[in-house]
Amino acid sequence: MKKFLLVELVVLISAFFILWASLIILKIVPDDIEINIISVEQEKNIGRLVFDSFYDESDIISNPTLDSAISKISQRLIFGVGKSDYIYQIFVVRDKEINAFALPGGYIIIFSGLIEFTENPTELASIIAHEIGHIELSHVRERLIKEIGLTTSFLILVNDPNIISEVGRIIISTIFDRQQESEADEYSMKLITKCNLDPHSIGVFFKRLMEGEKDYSFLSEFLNTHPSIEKRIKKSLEYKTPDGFQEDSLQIDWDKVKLSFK
Amino acid sequence: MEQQNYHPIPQPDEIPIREREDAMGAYFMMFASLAGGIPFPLINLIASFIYYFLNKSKSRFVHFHSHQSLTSQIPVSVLNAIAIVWGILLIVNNFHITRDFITYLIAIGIVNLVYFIFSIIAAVKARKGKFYYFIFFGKWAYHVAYKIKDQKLSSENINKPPKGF
Repeated sequence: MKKFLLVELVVLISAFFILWASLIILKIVPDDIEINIISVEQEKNIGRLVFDSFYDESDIISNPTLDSAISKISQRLIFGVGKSDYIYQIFVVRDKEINAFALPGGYIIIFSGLIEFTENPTELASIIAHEIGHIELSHVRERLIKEIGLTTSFLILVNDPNIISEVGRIIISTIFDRQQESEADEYSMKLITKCNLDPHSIGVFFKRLMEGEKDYSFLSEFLNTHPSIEKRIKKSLEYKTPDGFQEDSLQIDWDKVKLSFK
Repeated sequence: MEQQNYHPIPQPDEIPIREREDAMGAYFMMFASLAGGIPFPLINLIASFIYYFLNKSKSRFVHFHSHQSLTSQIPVSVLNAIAIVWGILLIVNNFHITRDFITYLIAIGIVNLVYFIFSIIAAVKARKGKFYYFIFFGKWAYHVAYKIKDQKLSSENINKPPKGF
């Protein structure tokens, strides 16, 4: 009697684990599934509110030379991104810091100090592609939920200026984790290659940045916090372009662009 | 051989309607949380426990079905509770649902569906005064409800015949 019971119990437990294992092996659920509690639309609404608050407090630079350059770069990148849930909007802020960040909903903010530090438009395109990567790969949305919590996310939608301003500060000051940075690097290199630009530019830029001043906040976002930074630079410098790759560099007078906002 | 240690099994026409309904009712305890409006597996289990202890003495037939219903509900409730705790942990930690978790949800969804179907079949059979044996839980319930317990020794009996007899 006891033996019968034991056998049936083992059969029952095994049946459940076989069922679960089969579902995993058969990949009933795709690898890239990511169900977030905040939808893309909600993220866009939060992003718009945070950006409006940021806009009021910042010195946004706009002149025909700079706008035309940013437009050329973004058009090339957006074409490479293809179908996307986001409409990308890139803004340049007057600030000496070498920094750039993505806000929820497709807003990318570049500091004028970053443009001054780049040697060519492809380097800036690589950084923008890196930020697009954070948005496309849902890193921004994940960070939004992780850092500020679900309750605050919904509170923002109530449109309280104090909360929005505070959330903006949190989003700007917090960093992505190592894996997310690596994924964004990878995304950037693929996108840049797809846009017929040099994918090694981001590595060249990081290397120059690392060899230069050490106290840039940009470094803290991109480099300092990650022990594997040398690996990241190595990986981007050794990135292999596909056969038949031909660079079609951006025809922008970069010195003229830099002079336009000084 | 072992059959001799068990009480004889009653046939449907020997089981009163009242007992059949009590036996059937045991399987409906899985809907207890729906009645309470709280989708938490523990409610079902508590309801089944209460039902079992209130009804097990009514008859062996009711004892069998309520034991089978209660014990079969334990693993299902544990699996569902794991899903709830796992879900809460995911929300607390990073707010996004992983592939493993969704796969687990699908697996326990299948388990719940199978359990639901078998419980309904068992409930219908119980209403007709029939037995229905779940794997493992059916044998266990039969053993608990129909096993003949050891006779107490005569020296332990309180009521005894008068002296001289």
